Formats: sequence, structure tokens, C-alpha cells
Amino acid sequence: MNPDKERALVLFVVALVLVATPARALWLHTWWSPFAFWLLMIAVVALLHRSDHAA
Amino acid sequence: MPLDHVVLFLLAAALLGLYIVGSEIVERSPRWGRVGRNRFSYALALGVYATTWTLFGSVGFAAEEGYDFLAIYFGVTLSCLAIPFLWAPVAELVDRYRLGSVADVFAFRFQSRTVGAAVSIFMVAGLLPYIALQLRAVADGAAVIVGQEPSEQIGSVYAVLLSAFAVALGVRYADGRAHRPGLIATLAFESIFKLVALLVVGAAALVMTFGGLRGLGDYLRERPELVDNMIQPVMRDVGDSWLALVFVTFCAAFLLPRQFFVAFVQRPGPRSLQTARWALPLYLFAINLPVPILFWAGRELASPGVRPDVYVLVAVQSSPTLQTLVFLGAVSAASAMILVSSIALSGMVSNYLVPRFGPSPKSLLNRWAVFRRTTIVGVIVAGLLLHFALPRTRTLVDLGLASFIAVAHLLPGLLGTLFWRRATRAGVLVGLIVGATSWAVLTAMPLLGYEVGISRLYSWFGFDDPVARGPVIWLSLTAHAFVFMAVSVLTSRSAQERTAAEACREPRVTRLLQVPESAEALQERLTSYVGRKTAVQEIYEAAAAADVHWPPRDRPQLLSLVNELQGRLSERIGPLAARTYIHGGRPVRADALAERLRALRALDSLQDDMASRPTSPAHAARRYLSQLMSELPVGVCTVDHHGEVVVWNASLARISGLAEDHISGHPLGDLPDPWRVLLEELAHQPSGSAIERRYDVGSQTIELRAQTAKISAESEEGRVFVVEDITAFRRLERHVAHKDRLSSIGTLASGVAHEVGNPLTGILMVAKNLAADPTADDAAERLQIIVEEAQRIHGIVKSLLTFSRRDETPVELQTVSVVQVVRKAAELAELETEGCSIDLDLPMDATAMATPEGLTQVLVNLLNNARQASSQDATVYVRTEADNGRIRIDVDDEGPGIPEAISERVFEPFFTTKGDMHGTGLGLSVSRQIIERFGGSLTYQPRESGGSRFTITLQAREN
Repeated sequence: MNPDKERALVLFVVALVLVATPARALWLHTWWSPFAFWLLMIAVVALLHRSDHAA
Repeated sequence: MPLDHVVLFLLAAALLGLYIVGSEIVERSPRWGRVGRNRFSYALALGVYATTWTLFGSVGFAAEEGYDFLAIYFGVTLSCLAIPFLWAPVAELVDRYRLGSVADVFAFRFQSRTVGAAVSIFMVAGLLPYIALQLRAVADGAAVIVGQEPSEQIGSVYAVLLSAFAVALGVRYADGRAHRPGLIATLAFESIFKLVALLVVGAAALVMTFGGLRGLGDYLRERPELVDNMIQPVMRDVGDSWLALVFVTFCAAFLLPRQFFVAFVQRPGPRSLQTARWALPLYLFAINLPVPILFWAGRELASPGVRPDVYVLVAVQSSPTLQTLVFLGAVSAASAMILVSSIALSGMVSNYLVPRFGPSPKSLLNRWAVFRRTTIVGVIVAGLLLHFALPRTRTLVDLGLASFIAVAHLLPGLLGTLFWRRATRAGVLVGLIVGATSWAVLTAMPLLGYEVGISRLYSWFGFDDPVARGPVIWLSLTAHAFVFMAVSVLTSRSAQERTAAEACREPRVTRLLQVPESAEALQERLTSYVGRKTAVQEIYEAAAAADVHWPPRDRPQLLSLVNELQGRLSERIGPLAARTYIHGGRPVRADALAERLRALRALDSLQDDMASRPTSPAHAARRYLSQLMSELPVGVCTVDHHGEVVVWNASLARISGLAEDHISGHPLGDLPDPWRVLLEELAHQPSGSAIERRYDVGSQTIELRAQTAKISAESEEGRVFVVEDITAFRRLERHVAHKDRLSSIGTLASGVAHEVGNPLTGILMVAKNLAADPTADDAAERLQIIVEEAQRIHGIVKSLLTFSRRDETPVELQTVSVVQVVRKAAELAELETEGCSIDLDLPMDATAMATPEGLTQVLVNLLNNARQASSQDATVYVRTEADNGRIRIDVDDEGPGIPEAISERVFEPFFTTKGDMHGTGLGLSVSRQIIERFGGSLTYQPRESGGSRFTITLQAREN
């Protein structure tokens, strides 16, 4: 598995834990916090994509 | 003023008409065509995931289960995070083998049309409720806008409109070809329209109902239970609903037939997936942002009894324009979903169900467009019928989730395809049957109103809430996965499955393509399936696309043509049927050693490319052996126990002009002549055999020497052939032999001229003198000289005749007493010349097969030579010996011997070391000829103590 895939797998596992386990209490506070968490996930992926592309 | 149905219908029809026109423009115009090939358009097209469920159903879902509705999109987001290690291998597989649907992937991996048919049936059954959902949502939306109750009549009208749109565009794209920019652009436009519609309506609801964000904040602060109701269902996760929803939507993101079709079949380029990784979640994020606002606005404004599914319309009920906008957004969403789903499903149906239950597969290609269009219409009509049959009590979420759960049952098989080589056809088939049955019993039947003891079943498993989705999903998927794995472990894979499993694991390095024996054979085989006209047309189009002239000039061109032809057929009739049409169903073997070696080499090459990785000892050893084999200066070919070529090294490729890539994996019978003739002949010879053959290849002649040996490895048996091109060597050998012959003729001619010339000169001079004075006193003496010289010439001519009369007249052999002949020859020799003594060692009276005169002549010649070469006080020894049916006579002298450099030439005619006056140089060559006519041999070898030894070997007397 190449480094890009390894990084994608780590990111996926972290996101999975935050979304699918009771850890989701971390981002469930207000009516807008789920959207903020969602946007944060997308931003991280987009930034990684950009750095991969630049590399 | 409320709108009426006619206006709404016309607006919807106009919008769909615009999509059709736009699609045509993009397809026809190179400038606009770029829009359909853009990776952002691709990401937007993947937004076909967001259907009317998103526009209407999400608000209804939020009303019932709060933020659980976000699970439908969080699952997709997680799935997008898995693109590099889950979607990308599927995309590579689809690209490599030109697969058109998820059923194609299963059929290809498990080498079974039955598996493809099972997936197709399951998907058609699972997706029909989803199509019905779209028709229902649009019809219900229209009814709300015009202020009427939803009715079957309204539903039918819009169902017909959407169906007509799907048929019109679906037929346009019914050829199933990949990368259609018009389709991608249409889907992207529809995604943009529904996004804009929802954002505008959401913003309007925010302003009109709450007076802006600040007002919404105040509204929620006064009613904290509203936010709590949104959050608590996720926190409590009743019946594992959240987790189950995340899971099924994770699968649906790329396994739903429409998602699969857009994500993999229509993928415009390798970078598109990477862009989709963040762009698709961002699109879903944006389209869901207004959902909570619309829910709270609708809740605030709706009359009692209004279903939350239509809160989006209620939230902007004061503005018919906005209601129309969101309605057209729903039309866009529904039409896009129905269009792509019907194209994707029609591909499965026409590839796997029509040949099974309808027309013969052989005639399918001829009328595939008709079948494809018919199945598109059929799928839509079936959705329409289900729309009428479903109880109206079911929500959009119920119908949508039923489809998603069905699709989730593809995950075990897909993971097996990508990551588990041990998965078997039987395992996946039984797993699908179990999954489909559990889906039908636990999901579909309750949806139709048949609660077949579900509550009791749940209680057996300890679940209290019979309506919870989690138990349904986990129960059926666990049963499916368990059966799939258990049956796979208990059953074995066929050879084709093993090969396909390798191809799915490493699509980049495994090649399953086989080249037909010739272009004519390819055309004949395709003709036998589809008829001459279609076969010629298909081959012509494939040749044009592959830039190959017909007929292909060589095997690389034939390979390119077959590759293109197989891909084009695979896109339309599936990978298995395509291979059957081209290769006549010849099985591709999984245990093909050539395939395994090729894969290993490709992996080594990949590892070499990754400079940062350390090289393993096994890898280094493989590289060394591979390099050794490649650089051997002789051609090496090995075949496995099936007789298929495994190794065809670089030297053999150079000698034959045939690249290894085009040869390995083929049986010897597939090789072009003369290689087929040579190796097939040698393959039937015992181990260690060697043959030399000369072949005319075009205008050239080649000479080959080939040897064979058996390979008896523990795991692999076969044969190795070592082939040498000896054309140049043989040419040189013939050249040298020719020069030798010329040299011999020259020596012969000069010898004859010299030997005959001397006495002839003497005769001439004496004859002239005699002619001048015929009465001279010594006339008689002079005449005697002439006679003697003439006799000398006669003797030379006689010897020449003897020498040249090879095997012409058979010799009548007699029983000869060797002792007597030797004694007589010794006496004659002593009489003829003066010289050293002759010592005879004749221990027994041996008899040999010869003629006494001939043998005497030879012995006298040898004894004379020996005595001339020896000094006066030396001795010549003659010894006889009988050994194993042969008589051996050695004549030894004590002379200086013959120098090694000329020892090979002593038997040549006219070759002499005695000088002109002492010999003609014919004695030894005539002697050897005489002995050979007796069936014996005359050889020379130096004596260890000095001198020469000539040995006569004769056959002993026959008893």
C-alpha cells in the first residue's frame, strides 16, 4: 500500500470513529454543529488532496 | 393564485426538454463537449445520489428522526474518504476490462452468467421501489402546489412525462458506451438546478418565516426541545439506526447501479475520482444545509395532518414561484435518477436476463440496441406499476431505504472480488440468495403490508423495537456474509475463477486477453455468433478505433484489434459474452504459469519503481534469475504441463522475431511456423534429444538446432527447449568445405600435371631425337625408354582410375589368410627396394574378409613407405591381432614420423613428403580407398617411442 493510500486509510478510520461510535457526542451540541463537523471533514480531505496534487 | 396542473406540467416538460437539447449540444459540439469531460462536472453528476428523497424526504425524515437524516449523507462522505483504497480498485477493474455494471463485475470475477443474473434480478427488484419513490414524490409535490389531494391520475401524468424523458435520453445513451459527455453534462446541470432550488427556497424560508439567522436563533432558544429532538435520536441511536444508515449509504454511494454507472463507467479520467473525494461531500453538504430550516419553517406553517414530506413546499407556500422552483428541482432530481437508473438496470437486464429468459445470446448483439431500449422502457413501466401498487402509507424514507438495504447486500461479494481470492462462485451465489431472501422477508414484504411474523423473529434475536432498521440490516447482512464465507471455504474455485481473481487483485499486471490464431479465424468465429454483416461491421469499427489496418499485418496489430473489439463488445453485452464471441469460449486458465510469471515480473517492476522501498532477498533473487534467463545467448522456451509457453527469452524473441508478450500463455500449436513445427516435433522426442532443421521463412532460409529436456519440478512439470540459430555457422562451414574442395582439386590437378608431365617430356624428347635419326644405333634403347615412360604414365592413370572409381563396382570379398598375405607383401617389399629389415609378429593365422591382391598392394605400399622413412639399421614391425571380430594389422617404423600439422593430409591424393622423384602422392589415398571397400579402415597415428604407425582394421572371416 503506497503512502497516499495509507494516509487515506488513517483518515477514513479517524472519521469512522468520529461518525460511527459514541464519539459523535463530540460534534452533536447545537443545531449547526453537525454541519460544522461535516465541513471540517471535507476541508481536511480537500487540503490533503491539494497537497497530494502539489506533490 | 395557485398554479394549475397544466402550467406545472408544461413547465416541467419544458425543463426536461431543455435538458434534452443541452445534452445534444454537448454531445455534438467539441467546445461544449469539454463541459461533459470536466472533473467538476463529473463530481456534480455523482450528485444524482441526491434525489427527490433529498428535496422532500429529508425534511420528512428530520421531522421523524432528527439528525438521523444526516446519516444518509455521512455514509456517502465516509465512502468518499475510502475512494483511494475502495473505489479506485473498482475503477481500475472497470477500465481495464471495460465492465459496464456491478453485475458485470460479479460475473467477471466469478466467471458466471448465473451470478450476473442473480445480481441483476436483485438490483431490479431492489431499485424498483426507488423509482416508484421518485414518481410518487413528484406527483405529491404537484398536488400540494395546486392545492389538491394527491391522486393516481396526477401521478400517472407525471410518471408518463418522466418516463418519456428517460426513454428519450436513455435511448440516446442506450449503446452503453463509456464517457458520454452529454449524459455527464445533463446530470451536472440537473444537480446544479436542484441545489440552487433548495438553497433559494431555504434562504427564502429563513427570511420569510424567521426573519433571518438571528430570528432563527431566537426561535430555537425559545424552543430548546426542537434542537434536542434533532440531536437525541442520533445520541440514543435507537435500534442501531444511525450506524445502520451510515453503513447502507456507505455502500449505496458507489454500489447503487446509477452511482456505479456514473462513478466508474462514465468516469472521464483518472483524476476525477480524487476530485469527487471532496467535491461530492461538499455538494451534499450544501444541499442539506437548508433541510433543518425548511423543517422548522414547515412545522411552523403546516396545517395539522400535512405530511412532513411536503414541508419544503409548505415553508414557501406564500410564494407560488418558489414552490414551482422547488417542484422543478424535484423534477430534475427525479428525472436524473430515473434516467441513469434505467440505463444502468437495462444494461444488466439485457446482458444477463434477456439471454437467459428471452432471445438467444447469439442474436443479442444483432439487436442489442432494440433490447436495450426495450428494457429501459420496461424498467420505467415496472416502477410506474409499483408506484400504483405500493400502499400510500409508506414514506419516502421507507421506499428509499428498502433500495439501499438491497444494494448493501452487494458489499460482501464486492469485497470478496477485490480482496479475497478464496471467494467462490458458489459462495457468492448462495450468499446472494440468502441476502435476497432476507431482504424480501424482512424489508420488501413489510413494505407491501405483509408483516410475516417479523416481531416474533426480532424477539428471538433480543430486539425489542420491531420498527427499528438496525436489526433488519444487521440480521440480513450478517446471514449473507456468513453464508458467503462458509460456502466459499467449503467449495473450490474453477480454473477460470482463479485467473479472474488474480485479475481483480492486480488488474494492472494481469492480462486475460488471448490472441486468436489469425485474423481470419477471429472473423469466422465472430461471424458464427452474430452473422457476417455484423461481424464485419464490428471488426471494421474496432480496427478504425484501434488504428489497425485490416487484415492486421502482425500479431501485435492483431492483439490491438482484439483488445479494442473485446472492450467494445464487453461494454454492450458483458465481459463473458464478449470473450465467448471472440475466443469461442476457450477457457482462460487460472493456473497458467505464464500469467503468474508475468504478474510477478510486473510486480517486481512496480517494486523497482518504488525506489524508497528496500529490495527483499526474494525479489533480488527473482530479478537475478530473470536477468540471467533474459541474457542467455541461446534461445530458451519452456512450456508447462498443459503445453503452454511459459518462458520465451530475449534471445529466442530476437531469433524468432516474436515478442514474449505475444507468445507466453499460448499453446505450442498457436505459434507461427516454423516455430510450431520445430517445437512440436521436439516435444514428442525423449528428454535430451536434439534436432537440426532447415526452414524457408519468406525469402530467407534459417537453420535451427534445438534440444529438449523434461522439467520435473515438484509443483510444475513441463519441458524446456534450447534453440540455436546455426544458419551463420552452417554457412561458414559450407564455405570452408568448398574452399577445401577447391584446394583438393588444385592439388590433384597439379599432381596429375606433374606426374604425367615428367615422363611425357621424356617421351617427347626421345621421340624427337628418334624422329630426327630413326636409324641410330641406340634406337632400340630409346624406344625402350619411351615404352617405360609410357608405362609409368599408364600406371599413374590406372591409380587415378582406381582412386576415382569409388564404390562403383562392388568388391567380391574372399577369406584371406592374413599371415600369408603379410609374408608375401614383406617379401615383395624387400625385393622392390633396398632398406631396413622387416620384423613380422604374426601370433595366429587370422583370416579376414578382403581380396589377396588388394590387401597385398596396400601392405607393400605401407612397407615401402615405412622402409623409405627408416634408416638402414632400423626395423619395420608388422603385427597382427584379432579382437572382437576384427583383424588389426599394424605397420610401425622407426623413422622421424609425420609432423602433426600435416598428419591429417597424408591420405589426400597427390600429397607427399617424399619429393618429386620418390612418389606420386597417390599411394596412401589409394590404399585407404581399397581398405574402405573391404569394409575396413586405414588410419595413422604417431608412435609413442617415435616413428609412425599405420593400422589396417578388417572384418574377421564370417562363420
